[in-house]
Amino acid sequence: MNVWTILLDGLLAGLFSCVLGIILTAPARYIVPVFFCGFSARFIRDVLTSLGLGFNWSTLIAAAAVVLVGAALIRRHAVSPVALVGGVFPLAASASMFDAIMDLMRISSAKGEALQNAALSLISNTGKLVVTTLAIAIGLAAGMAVVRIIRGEKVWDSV
Amino acid sequence: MEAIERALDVALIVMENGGPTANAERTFRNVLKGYKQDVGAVGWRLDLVTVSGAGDDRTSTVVRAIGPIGVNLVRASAAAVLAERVARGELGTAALGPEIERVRALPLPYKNGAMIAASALTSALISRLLGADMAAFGIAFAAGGLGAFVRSMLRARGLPVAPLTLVSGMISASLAGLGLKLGLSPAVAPTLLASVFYMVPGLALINGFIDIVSYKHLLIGLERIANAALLFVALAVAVAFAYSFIV
Repeated sequence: MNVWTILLDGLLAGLFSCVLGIILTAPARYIVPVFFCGFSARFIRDVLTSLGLGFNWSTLIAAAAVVLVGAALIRRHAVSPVALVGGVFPLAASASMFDAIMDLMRISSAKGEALQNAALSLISNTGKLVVTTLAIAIGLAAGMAVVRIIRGEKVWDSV
Repeated sequence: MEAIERALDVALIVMENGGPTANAERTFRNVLKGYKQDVGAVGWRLDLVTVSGAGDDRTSTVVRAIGPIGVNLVRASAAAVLAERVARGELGTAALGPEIERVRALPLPYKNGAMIAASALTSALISRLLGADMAAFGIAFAAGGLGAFVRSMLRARGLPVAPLTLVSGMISASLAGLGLKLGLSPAVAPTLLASVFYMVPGLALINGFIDIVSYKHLLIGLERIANAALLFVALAVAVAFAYSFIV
């Protein structure tokens, strides 16, 4: 993947996060931070995967970066989930989730080889979904822990 | 008791407008700080909250129903800020009532047209992020826009969330399916998925994960995830419905 493609996808992800922020009724002052969160998420993940790091590790680091970028741009702690929601969405395994549900529907009526293919596809998509979601959750938790350490708060206090 | 009731008034604004449970509890305790009080356990569910505390030689429990969960993060944010002001002593508890009414009356920050345009753009942009071409971008934009328009009209008539998601999803996915059937784009899966993406229950999903990770709010986190899963199934049914026309 070349630099321009990575940059373009990052910009698209940032714009996507912005419009998602509007749908989620994020206050107008958070739209720019949400853009940078979405941009950072996709950009960092693509850069890391192009450098040879595994997809899930890249996702984890990118999710942690979203929290750090959000915390740097939004000083108020209480509303940072707005930026997190928009920011991490470009990382989500949305396609795998839909594919897994559609595989589940196919399995109910498929027979023979089609049934085997659908079952394998379901296992594969569910695995991708679970591992990617877990990577995002761990990345977010790690990012929050880092922010709390920087701010001198209790690391294991409620998020 | 008045302190708990007032604190719950403010905390429930956070909950009922899409705020995470941890924020709602922080808001609740911040208001109590203003009254120089604290309570023991607070139990959250999507439909009710229970608060237990000891005082005057007896233990009492307050149970309060939580209304339907919507999305207005401006209100949720304003309620959290209000509670912080009360905790810092910048706002007296006597002035809390009118302030609560002011926060409850805050409108959505964006007009309906802007929300529909944002929905259309969300669908279009995610189609590109999923690797589709520019024709799919256009199809997803039109499908997302029309679906969001119908959704806003049906929501105004009070349709519950699950059927609302299913009907709007079917309209969006069918329009996208029509574009694909006409051969406008070869990218079938990204276009169909993108056409309904504006309805993905992102806030419920993220709030659910935040609740689960916090460990204190495991049960309500699971409730939120289950709710989100139900909406995902509704969207998948809509996509499968449109897909059956294409193949």
